[in-house]
Amino acid sequence: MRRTGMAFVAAVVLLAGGVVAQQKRQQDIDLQAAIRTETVDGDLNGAIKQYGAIISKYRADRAVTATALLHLAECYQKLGDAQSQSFYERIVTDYADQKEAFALARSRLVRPNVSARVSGTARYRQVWTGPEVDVEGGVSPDGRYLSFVDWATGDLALRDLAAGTNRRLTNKGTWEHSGEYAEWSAISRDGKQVAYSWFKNRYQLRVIGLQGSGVSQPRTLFDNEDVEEIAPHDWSPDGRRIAVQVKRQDRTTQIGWVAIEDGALHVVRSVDWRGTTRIAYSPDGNYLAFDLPLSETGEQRDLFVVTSDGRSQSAAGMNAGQNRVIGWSPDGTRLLFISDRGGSAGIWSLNVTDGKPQGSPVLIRPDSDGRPLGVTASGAVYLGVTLSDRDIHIAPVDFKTGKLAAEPSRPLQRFVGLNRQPDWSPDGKSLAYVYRATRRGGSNLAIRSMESGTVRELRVELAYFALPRWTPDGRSLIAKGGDTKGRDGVYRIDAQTGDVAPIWVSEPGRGFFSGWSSDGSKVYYRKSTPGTDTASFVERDVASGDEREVVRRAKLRVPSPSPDGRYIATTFYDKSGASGSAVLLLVPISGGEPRELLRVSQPNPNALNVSVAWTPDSQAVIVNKALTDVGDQTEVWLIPVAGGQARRLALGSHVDGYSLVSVHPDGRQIAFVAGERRLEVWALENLLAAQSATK
Amino acid sequence: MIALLLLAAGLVIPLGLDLYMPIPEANPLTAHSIELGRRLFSDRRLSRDGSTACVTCHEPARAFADGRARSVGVFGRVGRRHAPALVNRGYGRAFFWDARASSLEEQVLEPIEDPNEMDLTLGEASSRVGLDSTTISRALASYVRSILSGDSPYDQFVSGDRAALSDEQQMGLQILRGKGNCTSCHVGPTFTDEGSHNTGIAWRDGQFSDAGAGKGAFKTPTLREVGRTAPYMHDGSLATIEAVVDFYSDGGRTNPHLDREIRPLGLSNDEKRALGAFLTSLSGTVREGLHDSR
Repeated sequence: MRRTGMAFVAAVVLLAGGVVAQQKRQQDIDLQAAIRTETVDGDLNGAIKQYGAIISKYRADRAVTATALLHLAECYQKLGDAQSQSFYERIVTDYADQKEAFALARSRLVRPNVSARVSGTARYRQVWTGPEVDVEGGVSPDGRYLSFVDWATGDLALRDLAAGTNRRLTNKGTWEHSGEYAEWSAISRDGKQVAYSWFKNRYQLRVIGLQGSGVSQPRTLFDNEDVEEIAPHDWSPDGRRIAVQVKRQDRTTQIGWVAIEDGALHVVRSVDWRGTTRIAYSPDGNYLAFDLPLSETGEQRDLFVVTSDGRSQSAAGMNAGQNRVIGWSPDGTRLLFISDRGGSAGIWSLNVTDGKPQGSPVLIRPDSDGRPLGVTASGAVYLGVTLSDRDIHIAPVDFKTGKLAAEPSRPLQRFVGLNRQPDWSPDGKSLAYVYRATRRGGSNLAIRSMESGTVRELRVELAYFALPRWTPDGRSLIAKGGDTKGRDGVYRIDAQTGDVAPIWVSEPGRGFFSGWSSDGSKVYYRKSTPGTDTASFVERDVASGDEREVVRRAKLRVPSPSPDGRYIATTFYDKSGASGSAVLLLVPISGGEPRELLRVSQPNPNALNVSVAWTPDSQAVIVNKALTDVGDQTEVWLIPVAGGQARRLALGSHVDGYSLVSVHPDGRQIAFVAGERRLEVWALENLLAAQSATK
Repeated sequence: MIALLLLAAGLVIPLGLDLYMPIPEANPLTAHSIELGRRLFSDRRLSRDGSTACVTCHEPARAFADGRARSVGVFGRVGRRHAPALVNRGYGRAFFWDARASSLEEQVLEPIEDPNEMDLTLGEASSRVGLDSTTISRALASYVRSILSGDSPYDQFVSGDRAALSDEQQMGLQILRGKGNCTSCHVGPTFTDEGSHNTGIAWRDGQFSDAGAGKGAFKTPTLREVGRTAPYMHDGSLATIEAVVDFYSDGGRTNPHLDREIRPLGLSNDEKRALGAFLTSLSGTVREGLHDSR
């Protein structure tokens, strides 16, 4: 009896198992079919229907539902439809147990929750999306306008958020006519003027009126050879002062204000080179609020309120988290800031009385992050947010045809969406890359064993670094970067310990325009000729300090030496011709005439990425080519040095040019960073009223 | 050319310095406290033999240094270290050559008690001037906060007057910021990072003659008014600016704890001269006391 019973139970289990297995197979078939519709056929609307059906049919299977939701969100995102965010949000809210989907959704849910369920009637409203979005400006007090940079030309512009129209406030002409451009900006409290940074060899502070519909004549308010950068953050309510942050030639940063009357800079506080993320005048104009790092090396920031005459200052005393100023409540009683002190980024409020922070901060909106663009007179918070699913991909490539032998894979499961700049080790067994633990965090170095999948994360004692490249012996990496005293240059990083040693320190702000030989024995850097557009590439022997000029000509940008040390590849923009051209140039290091490898006619100085990659055998250069004047769509091209057919690599249209691709030493795989990235502007309305209502 | 802003006490912040000066809440800067501190600064009753006041070693005419290698206190006793210039100490975060004090209020009392300087107990000092030690401390600290140096040719230059520095001085400024690596420690408006560094200056015969803040490190002094404050270093062992420039150009003095920022610079004679010329441009207007009442 017992044996019979056991056999019966076993049969039922087997039968059930068979049914479950069959259902699982069908789920997989349905899912794969939908993915094929999405990725192979490119029929996003068709795929959306299929994913929707899968979610309805297999609702009980959390893994399948989460995967389908993720793809559904991706389809909407590719279509530019903001609905994508609601699906990411649903995964984050309801499917935390599905770790991979959760992590991916979380990484892409960079704008705040759309729903209003958390803070009473407070709600987010998307106010601007599209390829031209820029978030370096500020919102007008009435919330109607946003100042920004039109990167198609570099002009300062104004977005009418209600009408959905743009208006250029300056008219410098195209990039081929002028390399000058606007950058940071702030609208005055009366909405009649914009203060903005204008780059003309260095940054100037300018002011321009908003009256009328034409282009007004700007006034240069501040221009000082000792100041590399000046960024306007806010206007005093009486319109007589502009709160600014400046960066000096000695690498220090200063917080202060410029008087409208005479353009004089009044420094309130000198700080280390990282400075503040935002300065905001209190509504009565008596105080300035800003944030500063707590230490030379850490990411934590505290909030400060200082009288605008510098007479006194109070710190909020927050020694936990990264706290960044948004602005003041309209009544001046509260300072609003973004902080991750609660674990994830959210909007917090801190009471301030007579310039002194009071009590403990209160979380008023969880899951909110972005670049603060200001607080309007009605208390709406405007944020610029980045939507990105970029990460490192690996794919087998047939370099003869440029085609992929298989779909790219994402090898990294940690800090998804925040991994960049991969580089294969010389033996091909490891992949080094740069990661950030949070979207606002600093760069760290990680090395993944491709055999075991284990990842070593190294703490690198640099304030920032980029483009780490292995040395031939595989014992260290060399990267561009800056130390904790703000010194740009080229640094060697020990691959085992993360210890850092400087190879070469550049003039302030010039480290980006450098390259190095594979072993780090030579550094190549750009040396510009003052007052001209001519520059030279200089080779510096690190051991002896001897220098020699490799080449001198107009428009040189970033030198990228070949692994075999024979050439420097570089790109520049040639204004001549009907539309101007981006050029890929090959410079023999030992001497001889440079020659063009590629010329792209396009009215866009960044039509070719400024940094380029090499194949390990030095036989070809790999360069990103922009598909549009604005936006981040690119193609990746492989250009043989010895001549022959240039080939487009089928890596998709969203390869991150800044990260550079890395070719495996076996010449059959490629590591690259890809994924969509776009900026949007959102308004969080009724936030403070909702907070008051819930008190 | 003076950057102006009056604090409640009537202090004028000269061109080149921050408007914000950290002042403890317990010791607000008032005209009364500055004036009291000014009087105490010159009060020889605060020394055992009545010979010495703060001003003895911190002379206004020498940017509040004294021109001696090592200061001389009561009964002709010679101290261990060189008297540092007191300009812009209101912006400081660490005090004394060994950085042992973290506030001016704490710092100003120690010379009174030091046997080589003024050699009184705080009780004795209090009874002599009829003020408790807290009042003495706060008043002296307030006065020291009022001692400001700015509006120098350098300040005028970086504020836009490109004629304020000679070509040689401009070259020196570039060396200070670049090849000389001076700004790795002498940084910001006060030209000090308020940190302690081992330059090897105290390394003698295989050991430290003075451990300073530990392992031969000493606090970075300001470069403001450096042209008026010879001799140099914590022990006054380098008599001239030229000697200091030579010392750093040669990479300091090698020892097991040499700061990693100190390395041979290989400055040419022209570069050394330029750097020295620039350093003299840091002499500006030294103000003390109630500025707007003078």
